[in-house]
Formats: sequence, structure tokens, C-alpha cells
Amino acid sequence: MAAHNDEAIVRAVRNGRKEAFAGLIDGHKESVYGTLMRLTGDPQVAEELAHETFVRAYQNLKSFRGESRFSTWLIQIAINLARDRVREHRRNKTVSLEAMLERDPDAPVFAERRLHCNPLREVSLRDMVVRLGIALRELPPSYREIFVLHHVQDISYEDIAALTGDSVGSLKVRAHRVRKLLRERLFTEANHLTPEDVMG
Amino acid sequence: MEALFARYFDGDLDDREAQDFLEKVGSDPKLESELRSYERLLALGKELPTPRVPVGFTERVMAELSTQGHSKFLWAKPSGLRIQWTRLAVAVAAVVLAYIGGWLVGHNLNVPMRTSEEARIPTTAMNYDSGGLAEQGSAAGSDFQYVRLSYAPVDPSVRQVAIAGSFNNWNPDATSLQRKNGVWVTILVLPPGSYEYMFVEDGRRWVADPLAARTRDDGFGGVNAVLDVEL
Repeated sequence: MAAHNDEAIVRAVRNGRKEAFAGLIDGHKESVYGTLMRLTGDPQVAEELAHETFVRAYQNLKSFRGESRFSTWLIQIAINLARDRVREHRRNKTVSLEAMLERDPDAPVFAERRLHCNPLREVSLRDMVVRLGIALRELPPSYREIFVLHHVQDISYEDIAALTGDSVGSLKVRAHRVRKLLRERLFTEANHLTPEDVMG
Repeated sequence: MEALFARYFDGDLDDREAQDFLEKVGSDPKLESELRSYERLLALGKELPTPRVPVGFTERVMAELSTQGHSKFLWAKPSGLRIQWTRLAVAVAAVVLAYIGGWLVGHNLNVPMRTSEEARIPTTAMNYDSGGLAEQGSAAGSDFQYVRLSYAPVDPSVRQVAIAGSFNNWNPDATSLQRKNGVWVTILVLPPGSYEYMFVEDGRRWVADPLAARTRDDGFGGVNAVLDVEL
């Protein structure tokens, strides 16, 4: 949805036309839901958080000053909600994968769940996309987040830093680690795959 | 070398550094395979399917918002004076439009009919030859109806009038009315159905059509005008 349309609809909602907010939902629900789906890997959780994202956006519309794009503001709310959800689930865990990777970047995150396939079997692009999806779900949330936002959704490090409050430097370190993890997961000899098997 | 890979994929190498890096990688089959696997990985990321939003998502969110009432975060509590002004404006608008309507009845309406192909683009405002109140017509073989809506603001200093409704996502920038002899007019092309709408003066003031055949409670303390389109 064009930014100037967002501004007009935001104005309309602020002027009391609550129903105009449906236009903002329609214009951004794919982006918000898509981001949350990739961050959480769970359709039910993604829908719940996307729902909450729009409700909070509505409730806090007054605080939206137009300094950033409305779409960016929404994604920021969505990311914060996804992070909150992760924190809730982590309370009962003694050691998080993030903490483990901070101590040992080469920790075998996928060691117990490696996918083994027949080396003679032709691996399709579709198969690999599915495997990437599975691998992303198994990643620590903060690693999944940087891969999804930067490498899938093409959001710059600077913008992600502004959205999340992380430093650009720490984001780059995390991005490098996640690329390395995923590469090992998808293309190492243990999985009997080479890049050529996948896309020639 | 690992640090160079990281800087390469983060775009942190300048042209010379990147060239040196690629030459070094190209001279070592193992490093070249590593580079290609990283490139494939990032290409796979672009192939991840776009998740589909569950059906009815917008409606469910709006249903929850409707149960919240007017948010204290959004709007100041309307003052009694403001409510009186609104009612007064609607009443005066009704009188003025009733007068204009009587004048227009005595004139021939000349709504230009469009081809069915043109009519495939709904909610497009078109030029008109003469003004009139809500009026419908359809082109032969078309699934759409032409609807002419007129509006006369109470305040003559209004510079712009638009229409926002369920047919254009309540976007006040989507469909402007044109001024003709003091009356603002637009022609909408719509498929049959029931639509809610409001006029928007100067992009700020929302007014329900005082001459609408019927209105519907908007669930938030106001009303929307309702337009029923039939073939």
C-alpha cells in the first residue's frame, strides 16, 4: 500500500472513522502475517500475534508521528510481540540456544536432527526450500529473526537496528553465524548435498 | 578467510577488496564451493513461499476493535458543542440539498453511458455533463451499475469533497467529487451490492450523506450512509 494512502487513512481513523482502519489492515496484513509466520513458524501463533499487532497499532495510533513509514512501525510492533512470545516460552528453559551459541558459535545446533538423504536422489529446489523452512524453525529465535528480516525480506541492517534496538555490529555477527549454520545444515557432506545438487 | 566471507556477504568490502577476495576464492576449489553454497542458501531464502493470511482476518480484528468502543488513546471525548454543530450541519445540508434536488428534477439528466469494458474498473469517478442526486443506470450487458451521487456542503468554502466507503477501502483519497454549479458530483461504477459510505470535506471532515435512502449504525456511535446498487 502506498505510504501516502496510509497517511490519509491514519488521518481518517484519528478523525473518528474507525472503520477506515480496515484499509490499513488489508494493506499490510500480508506483510505482518508473513513476517510473523516466518519468525514463529506456527500459523496459529502468527495469526494471534498479527491480530494483536493491528489491535495495538490501533490503540497506539496517536503515538504514530509519521517519522517512519506506517509499514515499518507495524513490523516493529510485530517483532516486539514475537520477541515477547519467545521470552515467555524461554522462562522454563535453563539454557537458551542463543546463550549456548554466544559461548560457542560452532555448537552443533542441528546435530540431533540432521536430515539424511540418499546421495543418489535428485534434490529439487522445492525440497531444499522445505528443508530451509524446517532449519529456520529449529534455529534460535534471534538467529531466525536476522535471517528472515535481512536475507528474506531485504531489510537493511540499519533499519533492523532501528526496529529492534540492536547494534548493526551485533546484527552482522549474528547474520554471519546463521548463514554458517544454515549452510552446514543444508550443504555439508553430512547431508550428502552440494550446491550443484540443488540448483545446478 | 571466514571474516572475509562475512564482510563479502554484508557488502562491507570495497571494489578492490571484493575483487581480491573473489580471485582468491576462485583459485581454491574448496573455497569456491563454499562461496557457491552461501550464494545458494541466500537464493533459497528468496524462494520461501509467501504465507497466506487466514480468511476473515480483517473482519476478526475489526470485530475486536468494535467491542472496544472509542479508544481513549485516539480521540478526546466529544464535547456537547461539537455534537450540536454536527447535528446542525446535517440538518442544514438536508434542507439545502432538498432545495437543489427540486431544482434538478426539472432538468434533463445526461449521464454518459460507458462500454462494459470501461465499466470493469469499479469505483472510478467519471466526468459528467450535468449534476443530479443519487441516480443509477447500467450499460447493456454490463455487470456494473452507474451511480451518480451529489453533495452540497453546508460550508461553501469547502475546497474538496471526496467519497470514502466500503467500495474503496474507506480511502478518502481514492474518489474525488467534481464541483458543478455549487454541487459536488461523482459517478461510481459498482457491481450490485450494498455499500456504506461517507463524504469527506477537505480531507478532514466526514459527513454522512444527508439524502441517503437509508443509514446504518457504524457500531462506533455514528452512522454511515448506505447505497444499494441493483442491476
